[in-house]
Amino acid sequence: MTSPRYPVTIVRALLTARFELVGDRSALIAALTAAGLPVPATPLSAASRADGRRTAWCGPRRMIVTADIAERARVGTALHAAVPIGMAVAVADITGATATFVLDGSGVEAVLAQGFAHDVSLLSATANRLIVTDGWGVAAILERLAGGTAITVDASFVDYFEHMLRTAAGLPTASMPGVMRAPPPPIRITG
Amino acid sequence: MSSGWRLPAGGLIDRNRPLQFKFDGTSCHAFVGDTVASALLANGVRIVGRSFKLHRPRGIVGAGFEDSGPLIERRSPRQMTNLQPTTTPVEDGGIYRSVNTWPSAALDIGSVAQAFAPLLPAGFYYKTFMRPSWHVFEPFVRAAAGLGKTSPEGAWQPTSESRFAHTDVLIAGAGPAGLVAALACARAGVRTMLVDDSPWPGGRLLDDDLKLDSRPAAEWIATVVAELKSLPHVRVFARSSVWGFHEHNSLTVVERGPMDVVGLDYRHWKIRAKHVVVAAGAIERSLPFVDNDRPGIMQASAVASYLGRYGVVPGRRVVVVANTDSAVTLACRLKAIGALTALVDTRATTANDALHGAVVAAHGARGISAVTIRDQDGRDRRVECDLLAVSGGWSPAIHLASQSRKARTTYDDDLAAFKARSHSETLHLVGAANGAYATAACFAEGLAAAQAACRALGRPAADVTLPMSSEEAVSVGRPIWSTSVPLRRGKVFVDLSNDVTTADLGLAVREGFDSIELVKRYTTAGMGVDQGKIGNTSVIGAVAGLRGMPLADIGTTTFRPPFVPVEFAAIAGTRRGPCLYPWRHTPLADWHMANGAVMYEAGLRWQRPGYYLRAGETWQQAAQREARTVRDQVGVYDGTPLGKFLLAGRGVTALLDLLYVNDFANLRVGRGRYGIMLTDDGLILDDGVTFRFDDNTWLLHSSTGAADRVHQHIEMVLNVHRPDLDVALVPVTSAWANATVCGPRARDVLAALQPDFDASAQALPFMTTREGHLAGLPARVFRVSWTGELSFEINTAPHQAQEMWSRILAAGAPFGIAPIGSEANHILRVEAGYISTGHEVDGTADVIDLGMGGMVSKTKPDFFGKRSMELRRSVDPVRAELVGLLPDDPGAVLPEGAPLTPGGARADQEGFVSACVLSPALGRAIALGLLRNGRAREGETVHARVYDRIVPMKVGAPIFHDADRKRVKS
Repeated sequence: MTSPRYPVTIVRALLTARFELVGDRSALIAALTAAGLPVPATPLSAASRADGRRTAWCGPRRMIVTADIAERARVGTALHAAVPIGMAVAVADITGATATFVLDGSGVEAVLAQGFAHDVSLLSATANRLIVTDGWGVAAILERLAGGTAITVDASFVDYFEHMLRTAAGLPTASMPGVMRAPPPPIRITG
Repeated sequence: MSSGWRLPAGGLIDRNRPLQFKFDGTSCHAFVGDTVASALLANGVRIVGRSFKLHRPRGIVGAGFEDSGPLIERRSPRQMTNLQPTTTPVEDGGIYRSVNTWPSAALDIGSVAQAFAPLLPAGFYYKTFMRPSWHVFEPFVRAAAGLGKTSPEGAWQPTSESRFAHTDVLIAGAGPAGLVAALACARAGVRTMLVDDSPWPGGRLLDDDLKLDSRPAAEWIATVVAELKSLPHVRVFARSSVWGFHEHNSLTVVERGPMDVVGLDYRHWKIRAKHVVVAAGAIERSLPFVDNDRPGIMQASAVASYLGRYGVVPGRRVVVVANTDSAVTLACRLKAIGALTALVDTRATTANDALHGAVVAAHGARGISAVTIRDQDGRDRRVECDLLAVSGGWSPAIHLASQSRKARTTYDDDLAAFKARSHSETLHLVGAANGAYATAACFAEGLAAAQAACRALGRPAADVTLPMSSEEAVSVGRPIWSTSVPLRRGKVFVDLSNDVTTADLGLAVREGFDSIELVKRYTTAGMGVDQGKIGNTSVIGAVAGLRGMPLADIGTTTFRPPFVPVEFAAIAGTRRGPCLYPWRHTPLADWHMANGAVMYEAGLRWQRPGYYLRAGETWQQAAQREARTVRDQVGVYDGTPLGKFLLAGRGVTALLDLLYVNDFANLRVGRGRYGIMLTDDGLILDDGVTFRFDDNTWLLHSSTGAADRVHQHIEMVLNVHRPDLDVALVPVTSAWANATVCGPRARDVLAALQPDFDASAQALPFMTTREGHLAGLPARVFRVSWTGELSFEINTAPHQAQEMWSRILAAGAPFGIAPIGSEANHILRVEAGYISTGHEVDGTADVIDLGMGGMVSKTKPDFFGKRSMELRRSVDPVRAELVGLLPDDPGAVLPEGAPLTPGGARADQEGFVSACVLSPALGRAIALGLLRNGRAREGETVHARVYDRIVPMKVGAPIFHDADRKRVKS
């Protein structure tokens, strides 16, 4: 089958600079403000700037900043500089540690509902809303963007997740664990 | 086989689309819309299979999932077995076969089992065939009885998808009550799902030839369904079953052959509904009389269904036995088409022109040919017939409501049935499922439930005008649970699926299995594919009679999912085989697979290269070659899965001192330290090396498989035990790819990568870290070893990992570098005597047991697990300790876990072999193990027992290579 079962396109997003900030809410907001980065208004929402810099508030003590990959060094430096020495805010450059898929088309919900127990229809209810949940057994962040619905997962799951997304859409997939085999048979006594 | 059982008109089948199929080798015809059952009846096939235990001839009994008749096999297309013919759509060119018969259902050689029936009462397998052993007979008994079989190779692999959904109201059943409920909810604007087993909504409105508002019921149904399907917030499921009603209004639904897409066999739904309306209808019971299992004896409601939906009249001389008004309605319809021979009404009070009495026996060896009717004066009369339509009363389908645990099941004397009473505002039972059998009552209850649900959801109740039904009052007779006729010959069945008779029930009660749950298990009543939908209430009634108790005191058995048979493949969807669990790849996975790596899981779903197989090698030879490469030259492995956690804040030192048994506060910037952390019960949780980047920033490494456990543990400490600590934690395992270069030529490889920092032994000693560039790429290098060789862990950003790996291989080529997998790593770490989680760290060992007691801080007041460890050791100071083991036979490689016992005895285990490998360094088998009081026993010979073989082993130090760690620290 070459055409999808559901009308949807699945695209791996280009690599972006990505930083994870963990710490107290007030310290995170102060650091973002000092670094000149957008600050989301509420948890589980995102704020963007025209230059593409975007901050997603993913949990009580967790925010993720994304920017164009060319901005990686500049944003990283600004963030580290914005965190006063000794403050309990961890800034981790996680560029490449996650993978983002962008799904578009009228079949997006039909595809996502195959792996996400969360009510994915809620994504369209509010602009800039995030859903931090679990899809096909993998932690994922869902966002509604201008170009479609973005799903971000840990990069180690990217092949598995792409396989599940494409299978759910009824598309062919090349991301099977092709040479995976069972571990060696139990070692028996020799001699 | 005769034809002409199909009426010239009527039904919902598509008569413009004829089909051909075969059953037991005989050609048959059908129409699109037919089930195999309706098509077989239309072709005059009476014997469809044989009974489970006794191989008695059996025919179609019901018209849906409640059918307790025989199962069939579909050989083509899509081989599958144990299908209910009443729910399986017939397909053009289909080849079907009866199950567990030979050569056919009609001429089954297995019917000789009937001669042995006296040997096969309930629970016979507990009493007979006991000598020499039940297991001698078991294969033959199972082969003679049982279900169909398919070969794994030829079995159909259906395509199924799983779907989660959320809805405001889910309505189970699209009969009159369900349709009205759905319409009211839909018009109120709430998200509504309407689920029904049938391809055609309408329930019994399709069967009973009713008029609604003086028009055929089908017109009203069509109008309602069209409106529902036009609304975007409504989903109408056809050929779909709610098969489980779980906690918190979570329901499982199987949708068969979804029509909205091509190429999908099943869609399996997990639905969370705010309100559930159970409108599942009621199931018609049978009646007890002699040989009540003959082919041609059917539920009256099933006969109505075949008439109404398929235009099939399954007999030409029909006797209807009515204990309800619905069967009288059927009799009128049969009379209109000239097929009614007699109506027998078991109710004395009804005023119709029926014979008043009871059926006491059926006649006919291969299908019913006559019945004996005993009138109210006790006179018997024989009536010839070819179909007996039986209505023994109705049992509301309370299964789903009962599964939900939101309803209490009680016996209702007026209904003569068990009824479920909801004690939840979100569960609504309506219509026949609530004991309301009259159409008008079904409509009213459906509307009331919808209005209640809408009110609770904050929506104004919708306006629905209920149609007026042509139906007259509905009455139900007193139940008949047992036959009053002395049984001289023949059997009275209460459960056709598993061949359970009233005699079996009597035996069970006499033998003390008198609780209904015990009766069920002893006799297997209600344990067939139909789960006793027709027979269960009759079983309870019969047991009540046998015990002289009211049915209310007997109670029901426990209702559990699945309510209808569900294929495992439908439930599994795409999560099967290698996709059962998520798998994780490092950024180098493509390279590994392209270069001959055999990948398998090596902890926490990570797929890692086990070994890189070369032509002609076994996996053992590949692992030995790779290990030798590291000992002699240089190897490189993908260490990306190693757990990594970034810690920041002034409280990190205090945290680490709490987590680890050893001290961390005094660790200098740029250096690392190996640590062991314990669980709160004082046993080893994990080990790893932690580096300090600056005063407040640290990187903690965990083992691969324990990374999640370590993460949870640290979060627990920070959130529960020490929320005062000023620490921020970020898991960064995937943020760094790790290529570890190890072996005596490792520094040469590093130099060839032209680092922009001093990588000499003096500038970058063991347990230090540097950040800079290697081969022009940003990198962070750690001096750590898990192979017993000089090692450099080269960490890069994941998107640069493939490039770095390629440059390492190019730089290392002159030094003989080769990639190595986890099997070689295992060999190397055993030689070096390094412990491993899952081997030596087995959940029972503490840090002193593993010979690392010297690490335990003597200065800090406390650490996690300290008290528990000390307490345990004070109570039982003699413990299993880590030792090295050398088998007397140098070629004996023992399985991990092999027990160590005194002299190789079968009992009194004193330890076990935790790892055993062929050592390339020593050229012999070596092992690590945990041995009771082991360190004091160095030089002793102990014995491992492997099955019946005893292997002597010499106890020594748990290190076989580089004992002074000179190579590691070089």
